[in-house]
Amino acid sequence: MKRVLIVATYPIKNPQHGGQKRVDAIVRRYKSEGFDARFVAVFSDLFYDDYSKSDIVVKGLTRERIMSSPFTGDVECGRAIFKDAYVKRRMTELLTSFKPEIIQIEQVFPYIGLKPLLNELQHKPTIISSSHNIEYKMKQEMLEGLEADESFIDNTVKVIRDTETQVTQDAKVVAAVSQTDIKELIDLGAESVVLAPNGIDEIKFDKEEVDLWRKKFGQMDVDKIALFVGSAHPPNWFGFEQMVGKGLGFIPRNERIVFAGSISEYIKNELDKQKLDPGAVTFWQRACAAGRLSQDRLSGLINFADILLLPITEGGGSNLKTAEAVISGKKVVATEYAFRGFEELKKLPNIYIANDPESFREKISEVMSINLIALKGEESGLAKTVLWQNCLNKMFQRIMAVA
Amino acid sequence: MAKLLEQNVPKNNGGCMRRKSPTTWIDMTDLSIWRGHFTGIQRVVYSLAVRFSENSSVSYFMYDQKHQKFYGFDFDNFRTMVESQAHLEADVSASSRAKLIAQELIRRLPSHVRSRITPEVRNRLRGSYLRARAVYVKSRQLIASGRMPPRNEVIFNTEDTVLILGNSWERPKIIDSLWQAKIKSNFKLFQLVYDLIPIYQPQAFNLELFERYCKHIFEVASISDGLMAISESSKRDMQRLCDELHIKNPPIHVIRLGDDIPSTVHVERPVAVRANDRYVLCVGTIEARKNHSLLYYVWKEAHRQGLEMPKLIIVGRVGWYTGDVVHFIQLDPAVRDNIHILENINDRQLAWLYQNCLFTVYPSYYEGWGLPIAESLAFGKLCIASNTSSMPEIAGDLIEYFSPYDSSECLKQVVSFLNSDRLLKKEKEIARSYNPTSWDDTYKQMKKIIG
Repeated sequence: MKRVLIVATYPIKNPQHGGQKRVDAIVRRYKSEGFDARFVAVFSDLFYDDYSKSDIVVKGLTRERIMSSPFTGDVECGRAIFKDAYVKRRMTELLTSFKPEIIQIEQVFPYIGLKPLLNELQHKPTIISSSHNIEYKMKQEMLEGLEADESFIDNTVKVIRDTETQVTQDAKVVAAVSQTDIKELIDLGAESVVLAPNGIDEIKFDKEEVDLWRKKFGQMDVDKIALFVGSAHPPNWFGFEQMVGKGLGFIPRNERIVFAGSISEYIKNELDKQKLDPGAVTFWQRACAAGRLSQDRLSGLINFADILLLPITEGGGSNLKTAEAVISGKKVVATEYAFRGFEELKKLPNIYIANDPESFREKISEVMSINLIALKGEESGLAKTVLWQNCLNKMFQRIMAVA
Repeated sequence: MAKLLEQNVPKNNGGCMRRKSPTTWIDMTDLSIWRGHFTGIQRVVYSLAVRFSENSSVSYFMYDQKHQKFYGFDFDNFRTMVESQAHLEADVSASSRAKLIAQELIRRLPSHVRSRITPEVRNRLRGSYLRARAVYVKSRQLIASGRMPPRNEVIFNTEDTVLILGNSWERPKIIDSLWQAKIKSNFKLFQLVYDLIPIYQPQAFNLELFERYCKHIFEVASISDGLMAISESSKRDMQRLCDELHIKNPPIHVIRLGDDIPSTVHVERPVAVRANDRYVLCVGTIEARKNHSLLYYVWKEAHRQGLEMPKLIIVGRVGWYTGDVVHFIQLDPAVRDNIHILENINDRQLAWLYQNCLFTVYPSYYEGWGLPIAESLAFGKLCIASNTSSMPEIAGDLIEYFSPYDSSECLKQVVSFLNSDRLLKKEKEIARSYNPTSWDDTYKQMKKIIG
């Protein structure tokens, strides 16, 4: 049994965000393929409080640096693998005891410290690079958006770009989430790149949960909802604001747009600051915040919804929400951008694309009253390509070939 | 006399009112708290209700916010009471203090109690303070004990038309109730929109009103089959809000409100004004938006330049965000003897003031309509007014304009019309060209819109 160590800068116990879910699916796949697979996270407990004993929580000065610069926490955690005595000791113990033949790097950052550590230990495993985004570009955009110090941005982006280039060139297999990212990774010098788009697990609906939502909305005299699921990641709100806007007057009184996930709180905080904006003060007349939900509760809400909304206009990689929307079997109103990495799926029935605000709003209104179209055999098969078991096939074929 | 109420109380509960379709229903809730004098909006509702009653198949209702139901409103009784009041006020010499108190007590009765008192009885009650007091006390007891039966609930039918002409934002639950009723009957709903000033001039009010008003107008636009704005300016604002909030516009029509001209049959000089005073008149509530501070600066600057100015008489109750300007007017030695604020002026006194002023001035920086401008012209008096929002729509070139943000421009206009030849020429033009709008005209416009 080949031994594989997967390293990330966040834990995957009880995965919440897209990155965690992707890594969790990969680890499970390794195990199901017969690998002796272990996972370790090097992370800060400022952001995560649910993790395994084997995960490494950064402490001391590393933690303090992350507190003062939370948006470069991933870089600090990666650096800590070599520069932080405690983390280095823990990682060294793991590497020397487990002796992984394959090390998979999730999202570049662990390689900042792992590369020099492997050199020091003279350990030469096969490297697999699992890319979720073009990280140096994402970080540059984020830090420029936060108006960080220019020299800080330059230094940080350089470190990430250099690491991303190194891991891309060192890796025997590079997995990318979209065709666009494949091109970028080839430019960075990748020997072999394979498409492994984001996917999801099969969604199971609990009838009781669905009935709960039916009753709750019934009490509000709401018959139909359009659901937007998202985290408190600013681009999620920017996309909605751009494609739908704050003015929800086109939604009838017996319908709502419902927000599930931490985006609910994000929107409330944002709109609270806009007390003289008619759109902001009337927003909740036609919208609801369902808040953060357990997976079962969320699945029930998805099943109750008439439409799933994907007003995505930016962000690297591809979006797990797109995969969830397709596999849900619900009507979907989305931008073209939302289907990056899932281009084939746009032709499925029940998928409605709109790329400007007026069309997007009109589509929501129109699609609310359209009946759901049942998928034929081939269409159903195409929809299932979003399941993790299908999304990771090519990646694992390549890994098996080099392992 | 107090037994009259109990004798006339039916034993059974009030039923539902349904009329033969199609019926036009008019919301009279604003008039259920009538205190003997109409506010501006109450006057609009009443004036149109009278025309509808004389010309159409119409019924009247009021909204009970506590129980979220619609109940019938006896308009005939109410109208009789209003007209009796007018006669009483006209016959000033006959009013004794006791009669006025009796009258006040009758007014304070809830409308569904007043509706049980016939006009004949009401007249008798007015003549006796003791009888009026007894009726008032008894009615309160009956209501408190629950023995006063409920009113007739109103159910709208499919072909009916419902008109909301008043202050519906003060009873926001009416929207929910109308919506629920519309789901069942799908009647046609029209609402009158006065202005969106709390939304687009929020500095004139407080933040709480901005939010409440936005939400209310949002819902009004969402459920109405048609809206009627009182000016093109209000229509533009409504359109702007619908565009901003992506509300699929109900059609927005414009109607012109009737010019409410105080009767000149009996006029009365206010005590504070001398018969030979030369003055410019400004009518309207003293609130920040009405911009009386501009007039303060105009008269102050005139004083500084040594210009001889007529008095400025400001008629209106003191409202909100005006503490500073009233303080300045009342204390500044440069203007305090030349600017007078008169509150509690009745219609007879107002008519006298219009008749005897040089001209009027209206410096408001934003209006839904601007009734005092129309009033001024109806009295044949020039109005010098702001050139913003709805004001230029009232009488076009018959009015002289200035920017409400430019006191020197206003001063220039005021001074130019102290020239009697110029003023006379303008007054002749007004007399020749201005046609007041009657409430009959307003009714006809509205009838055409609602079909």
